[in-house]
Amino acid sequence: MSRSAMGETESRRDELPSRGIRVFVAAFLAAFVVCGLLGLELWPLTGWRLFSQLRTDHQVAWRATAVGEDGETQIRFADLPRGYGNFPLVMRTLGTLPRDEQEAACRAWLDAARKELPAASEVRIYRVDWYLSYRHGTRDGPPPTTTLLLTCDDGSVDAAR
Amino acid sequence: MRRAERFLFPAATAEQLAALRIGLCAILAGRLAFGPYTELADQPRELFRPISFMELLPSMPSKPVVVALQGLGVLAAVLAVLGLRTRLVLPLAWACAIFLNGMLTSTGKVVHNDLVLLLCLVPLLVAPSADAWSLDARGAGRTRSGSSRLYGWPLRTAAIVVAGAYFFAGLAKLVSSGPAWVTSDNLRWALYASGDSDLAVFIADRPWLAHALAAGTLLLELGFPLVLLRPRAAWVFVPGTVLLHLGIWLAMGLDYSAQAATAVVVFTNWLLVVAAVRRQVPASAAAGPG
Repeated sequence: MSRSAMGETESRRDELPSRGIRVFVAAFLAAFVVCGLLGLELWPLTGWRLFSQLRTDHQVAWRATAVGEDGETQIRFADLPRGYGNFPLVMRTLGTLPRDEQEAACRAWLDAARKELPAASEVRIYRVDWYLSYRHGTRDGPPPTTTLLLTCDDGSVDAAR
Repeated sequence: MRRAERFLFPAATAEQLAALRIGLCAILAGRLAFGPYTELADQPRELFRPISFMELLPSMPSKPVVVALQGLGVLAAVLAVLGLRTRLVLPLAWACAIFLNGMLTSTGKVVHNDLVLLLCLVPLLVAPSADAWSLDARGAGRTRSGSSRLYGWPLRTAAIVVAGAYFFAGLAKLVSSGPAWVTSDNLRWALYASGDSDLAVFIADRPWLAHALAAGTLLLELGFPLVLLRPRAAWVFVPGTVLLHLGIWLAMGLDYSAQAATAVVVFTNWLLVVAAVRRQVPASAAAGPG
């Protein structure tokens, strides 16, 4: 290879990307690192909080039942379209929402319940406190307790009675 | 400044960058083809919990819109693998994936499963990733020209994203829970709570094993950035994370296959793999029936 050809190859090898690309890379990585360090959620940038909270023996779950002519039937969200599958996620924050939004969510579940149980007249939502150790052998914890949180029908929504 | 610049913009070949494009876009095509996006379409708007740009929408998009975006995304990702009109189709595939994954994460919980893949693709949106091993390069009659700093930065950026994702996941555990993430019964309860898989119960029933796995997980996550300084460390950390994700899937049913596959694609030296395959192919052809 001639000296000038070698020089051209060398200069291409050392050629940096354009200033625009360098700024883009710096900005992207800075945003990625800041979100990671501070735990910020600016999706698709994220704080990467995966299983970061300590788990304990005590668990909180929610259960929804449809009330029909034959009494209460548990709503199996796993059997409904996936759009209804976020029931436990919605329940986590339902108590913090304005009343009209709580009512709207509860009626959406009533509509879902009617897909399986057309005669359903209301939905009841319970909070279930339970202990993993109770289910898994040692029985150290107390048995589950169930508390009625919310009831809704076509006309009204009632908080716990 | 100079050192940082040398680190962020190393030299690489067009083929190395092309391998990253092909690998990541192939994973993306698979994820887009089999993702559960249409199942979320037409969700009642009362249950829609948007975050980020999804807050601009009043509800989940309708099924025809989702099907169109999914089909377009798959087609664009496949074309990006082939390297045809790459400058157009790769950003298009990424945009479809961001929107569709935005749907998944608008159900009340941030969904991380495909995030590493999507973030590793960000540098490829503007990189010259089709200068080799592409129909674009073949059509333009381009020839290879050795390594250049024009090609190394997307590889390095993707490596930083993978390493950072694991490191920050470990850091978040330490910040939120401290050493108790390892020393308490945290992992046992997480496994018991995840369901009743035989593997989850087997580990959770043995406190010493749960503590050892928790410590191993934290070490793996916090130590992953070592691969940026000592590339040979990838021989430990990449298989380690693949095993971690496999274990999480078997024990808890959580699918992080896209993240594991992304780590493999980013940290594998594909030029060596291709060279090894090329050596094997003539050898087997010669040994075959003639």
